[in-house]
Amino acid sequence: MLSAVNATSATAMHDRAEELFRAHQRDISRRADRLFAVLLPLEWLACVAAAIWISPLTWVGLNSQTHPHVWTALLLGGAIVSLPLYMALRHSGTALTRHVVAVGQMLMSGLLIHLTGGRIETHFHVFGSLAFLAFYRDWRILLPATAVVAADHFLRGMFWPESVFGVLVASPWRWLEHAGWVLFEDTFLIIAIRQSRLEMGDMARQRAELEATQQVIEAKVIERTNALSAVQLRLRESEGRLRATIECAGDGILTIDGQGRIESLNGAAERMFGRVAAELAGRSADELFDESGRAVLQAAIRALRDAPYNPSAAERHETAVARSDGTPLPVELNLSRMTAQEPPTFIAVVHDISQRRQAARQLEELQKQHLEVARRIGMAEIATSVLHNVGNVLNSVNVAASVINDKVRKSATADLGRAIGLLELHRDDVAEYIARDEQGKHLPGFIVEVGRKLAADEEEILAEVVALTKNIDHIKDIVTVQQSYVGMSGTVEKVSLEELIQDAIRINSASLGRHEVEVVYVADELPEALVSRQKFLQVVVNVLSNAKYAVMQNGRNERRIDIELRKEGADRARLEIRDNGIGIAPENLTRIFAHGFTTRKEGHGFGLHSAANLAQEMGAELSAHSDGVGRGAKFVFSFPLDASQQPLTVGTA
Amino acid sequence: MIELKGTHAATGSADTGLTQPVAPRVALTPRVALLAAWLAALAAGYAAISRFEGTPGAQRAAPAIWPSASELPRDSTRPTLLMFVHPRCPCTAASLQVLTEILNRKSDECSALILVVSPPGADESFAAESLSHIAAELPSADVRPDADGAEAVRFGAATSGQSLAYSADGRLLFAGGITPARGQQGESASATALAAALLSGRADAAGRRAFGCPLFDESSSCLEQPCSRQ
Repeated sequence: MLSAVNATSATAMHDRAEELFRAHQRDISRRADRLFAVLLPLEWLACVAAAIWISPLTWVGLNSQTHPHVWTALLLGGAIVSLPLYMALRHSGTALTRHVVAVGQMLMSGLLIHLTGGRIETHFHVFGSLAFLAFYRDWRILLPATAVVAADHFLRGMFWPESVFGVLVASPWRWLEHAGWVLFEDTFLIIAIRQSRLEMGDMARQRAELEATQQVIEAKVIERTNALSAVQLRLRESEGRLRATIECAGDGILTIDGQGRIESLNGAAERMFGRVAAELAGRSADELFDESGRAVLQAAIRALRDAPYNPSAAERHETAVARSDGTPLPVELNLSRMTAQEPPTFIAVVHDISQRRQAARQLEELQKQHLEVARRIGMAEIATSVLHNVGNVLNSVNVAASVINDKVRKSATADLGRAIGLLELHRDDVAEYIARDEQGKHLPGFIVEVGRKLAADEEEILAEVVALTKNIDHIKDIVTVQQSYVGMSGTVEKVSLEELIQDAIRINSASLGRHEVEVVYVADELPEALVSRQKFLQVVVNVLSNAKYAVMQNGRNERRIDIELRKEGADRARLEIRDNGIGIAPENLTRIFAHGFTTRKEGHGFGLHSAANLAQEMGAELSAHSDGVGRGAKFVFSFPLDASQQPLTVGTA
Repeated sequence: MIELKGTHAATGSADTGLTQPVAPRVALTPRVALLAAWLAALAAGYAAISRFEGTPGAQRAAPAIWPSASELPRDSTRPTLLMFVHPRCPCTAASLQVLTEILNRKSDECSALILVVSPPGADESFAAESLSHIAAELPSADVRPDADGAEAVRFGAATSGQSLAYSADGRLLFAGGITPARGQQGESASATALAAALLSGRADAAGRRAFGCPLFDESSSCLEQPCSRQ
């Protein structure tokens, strides 16, 4: 395939070389035609002048008239010149023109020889003419030229009356000698012409090769130029977009030279500084910043200028710029070096952070409010548990009160009253009545019986009163525990973790007991910890309450909550609260701590959310684990033993 | 130049049923016609000039014996060569050139006399320039004026360039022109014959013609006998 292409290319180049050669030949012929178009008329004039000079008049005795040579020069010379001149002017470059010119030129030689009376010196015109004809670089025209010379000499010898032609003397074939000399010159001219044409051919081939190379180069140049144009177009579009982006950017963007002078800035920067680009261009960027900002800017420029170029290196600082009215504007300055070229150029992106700072302040305030709400929610959860447990105890109180009420209402006091009434009725004859009356006979026994019953009732009522008192004490305990946490701040203090956990169990104890939930608590021996008592209790109470609800819904008789407190590393502890409750669906594990999320109808979704927030505040982690619905759950509360070392963290779980 | 313009109009062939091309017709283009006209004009021109150059001058018989009436000195020791020239005829130059060639080769074999003929009626100035010029050109020759062409008439010379050679004893060896054509230099049969006659001493029998200007008007009465200068 490649060889075929090369062959085609070589053929095309050969054709082009041929074309160039022909064009060159044509150009040479035309130049020679123009030369002879001048030379032939000059020769004609020279012939006329020679005729007038040599033989102006012919004489007959004393009489004279214009010599026929003058007319010959004028008319025959004009005739000889006419057609070559016409052809050279009108049909320049053709082979026929060349041949006609060659014939005409040699005829002019012959005419001149005639007019000079055959002077041998005039014959040199023949050789000069042949040399001139060689200008055509076409050896073929030497043939008619030579033929004309030979014919001229031959015919002159043949037709002149006293010619030596045919006479065998010393020089009868002189014309042949002359023609031989012409052929001698022809030989050299032909060699010279051939050599010249070979050189023309070489030139044509070289030029064809050069053109082919040039075409290839031009094609490459066009291709590259087109590609470059496309790239430039894309670059301009990209530049336009970039410029529009920069102009539309909300941040102020400036370019700064190595001396800290402003080179350009976008519209946002103009608005930010309250000054136009034309005013700022060339001025020091220091003018845009307040006192601290200048130092920051200069330090940033120095840092970027002195360090090796790194395209990703940037200096980011929060500082302030000075508006045109002098008021400061908090900004974030992002300075980077544009290129590695020296001197360096920097690009500064100035972001107005006034709103961000205001938002941060508002956020901080909201966070505080949120924490307070969370704290209150947590407290509300505890209060709910407390109230729930108090309610449970109150149920026992009510039962006891009902029993007492029933006992009181059904006591033998009425029977005793009726016996007393009978005795009152028979006050005067009590003995007779008891002795003789049938009813009276049964009265002592009835009174004994009533007494026994009253004693029994009293004993039962006393038992109920004891239980009632106990329950009231229980309520008192619950309320006391709760009261002990109400109003407490989140201050970190040294506490016994076991006591806290027991309090949490106690708060839920009534409910746990009523629902027959078995709580198993095991713990490592841990030193007192520095935690927020309030926060810790809220976390544990909420998680425990959650576990209680979970086991209540497990549909089994066995309801169990395992609480395990373990030391975790040197400075942390880990509290696991495991239950065999209804478990947590996998899709709910990620949102179990979300605000408002609950699976209970009566739940409100605050408890675990509050617990998670509090855990985060404590620098602790609260996580939930479950193997799925019906497979129980495990909540892990990992917390530092010294919360005073923990930074305050703000956030929601 | 002929241009062939072939046409391939179909002509049916009854024998073969094949379509055969019509033979191409030859058409003369204007350029070819122009070329032909040019060549014809040149031929006519050359014919005219050839006719002029090839036409001999008037020919009169030269005396077979040196005329006794002649006042010209005849060399009794070697042949005497005479040439009569018209003083203003351009053709004279060619004759003198040929004569010079001969004299250069045969200067010791003859004595040359060149007679510059003043036609009857001409004054002395007519030939003066020519005399001095020829004398300068041919120092070995005796150049003399021939007033009224008296000697020319005696020797039968009517055309410029007419040359005569007489032997030492006065016999005519050669008579005629020595140029190949009118006004043309170069080798000629007559010049060769003259040289041979001078060398051999034998008379050239061929009638040689002279090509040049007539020395006298056709109507001149001096052609028959020398006119005497008035």
